[in-house]
Amino acid sequence: MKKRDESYFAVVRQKLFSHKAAVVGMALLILEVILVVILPPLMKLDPITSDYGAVNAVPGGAHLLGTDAIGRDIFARLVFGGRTSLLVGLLSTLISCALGVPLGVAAGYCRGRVETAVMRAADIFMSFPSIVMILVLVSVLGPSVWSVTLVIGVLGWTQFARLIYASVLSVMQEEYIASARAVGTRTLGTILRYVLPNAVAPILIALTLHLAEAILTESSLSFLGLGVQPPQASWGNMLHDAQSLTVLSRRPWIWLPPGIAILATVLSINFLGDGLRDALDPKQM
Amino acid sequence: MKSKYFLRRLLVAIPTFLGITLLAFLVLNMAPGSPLDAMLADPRIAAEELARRRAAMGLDKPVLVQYFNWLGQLLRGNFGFSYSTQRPVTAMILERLPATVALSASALALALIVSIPLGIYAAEHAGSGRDYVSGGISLLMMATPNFFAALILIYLFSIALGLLPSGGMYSSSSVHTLPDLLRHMILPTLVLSFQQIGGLTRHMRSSMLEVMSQDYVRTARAKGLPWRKVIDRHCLRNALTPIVTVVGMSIPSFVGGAVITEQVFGWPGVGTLMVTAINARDYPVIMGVTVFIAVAVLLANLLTDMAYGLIDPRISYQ
Repeated sequence: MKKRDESYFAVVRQKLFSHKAAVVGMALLILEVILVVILPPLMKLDPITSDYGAVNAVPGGAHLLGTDAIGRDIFARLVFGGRTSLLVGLLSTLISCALGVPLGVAAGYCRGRVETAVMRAADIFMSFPSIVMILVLVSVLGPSVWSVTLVIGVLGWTQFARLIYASVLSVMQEEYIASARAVGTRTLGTILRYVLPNAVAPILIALTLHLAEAILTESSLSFLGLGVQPPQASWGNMLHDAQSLTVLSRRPWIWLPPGIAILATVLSINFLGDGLRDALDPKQM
Repeated sequence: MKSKYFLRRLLVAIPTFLGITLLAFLVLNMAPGSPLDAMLADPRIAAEELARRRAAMGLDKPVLVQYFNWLGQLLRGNFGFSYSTQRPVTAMILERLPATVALSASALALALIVSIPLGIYAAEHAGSGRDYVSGGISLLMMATPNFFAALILIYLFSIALGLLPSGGMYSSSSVHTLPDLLRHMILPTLVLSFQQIGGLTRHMRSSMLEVMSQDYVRTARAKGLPWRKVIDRHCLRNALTPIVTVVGMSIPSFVGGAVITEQVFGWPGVGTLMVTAINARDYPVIMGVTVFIAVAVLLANLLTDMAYGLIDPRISYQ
């Protein structure tokens, strides 16, 4: 058992590393995480204090990427915005995973009424535009980093539940599940030791899919002014100012960097997700 | 057989509709403030009068009863009145509807016109450089946030080149001409179709690859049909059937994209109505638009299901 596991992951790792786009995506993401963690203390970045002597300053000099309409440093806001956006993305993905995986496992393992209830609920959630539901919920809870994270996380369970459910269904057909039950392994033990490890692939794929989507959703909400609230920086709310034609036409340094940052991050995650999907696909083993 | 399938689909849609409306109702019930807040703050209104008003509005009943009362009103077409404009919500939605429908329909059409040939092309050249380029472009389109794509297009076509208007539906509020409308529609349509093109191209490519590996395709080739003919006559129609479902499934994300696209371009549709209502905490409008979108999405899903049932002879719903 142990040995087979190792060789499986060795094959997956090898396939993943031979997928060039996935490697580039992964490297970019790791670099980005390192940068948003170490740059603020290293460069003593301040995203909030205004430099009134340099309002709407062009890039260069004291302000690497210039300043916005109230003199805040764009580079500092870009780095701190990266912290916010990545944090919201990761936390909400964890929430979705924590909700969706148990529900999906329960539906696939117990079948019957649990299955009907969970999968019908998933149908209902998926048949409605999540951004509209998120807008409604955030308008009730009041916009903030935490409400946005919570709402994106809670509403994102369906993707996990569906993928895990399908994979549990196929795992349940295997003989080792029947034998585990036959020798009297308890339900939770069977799930933890035999069902879940075999459903790792869909969980990983759902994680990348959801992370990309969560980052896009957060930035859309913040762009509309209904997500992360200034003075706290997020990539989405940095683009909010570009709704004014003056900023859009005369000060591209304010809105281009955060836009490119979102694009590059989501693209990297998608590349990594594609690589993972190819590497984990049992049909290609 | 077919009519039974359609009936079943219709019956599945009803609990979904109830679920979404109940969810929307409960969420907005949690919202701080009630329609009587203004009166509560007014010392000239007596407590008895307030209680009478509460009873008249049904606010003293249990939440579930309130929900069914509200639902009954909805089914009669009464969505209540806007807090901020005092106008009927139904009228406000209906007058915005044509703008949203025009934008969404043209964006969907554009997405299909671009992605289907592109997906076929990529599948035919699978593994080649051309395939990688189209795959990369698809991923890039899916990774670009709607609003960022909008800003870039406005920057290029409205500001730098001065070719197209940057927002709104007409240049003048009094004179409405079709060419003017079309000019205003180009950028929002492009933006709204962007993310859909990425996803649809990828689906079309994999669907086409799947069909191309089928036995009947090999048979067709083996009997000496030219490749072009095999693609056109045997692969295409079979590869298109799952795309109907994909389009149906992408409708929710399409509607979400429309909300943001309309907002960036100041397009006077249902999406901007929603964002304005949220900013103004205008709950009857928020609820009305939510329910309205739910119905529209369910109907669209039902239609795609039916279209699928009609196209695919193998379908018999159990």
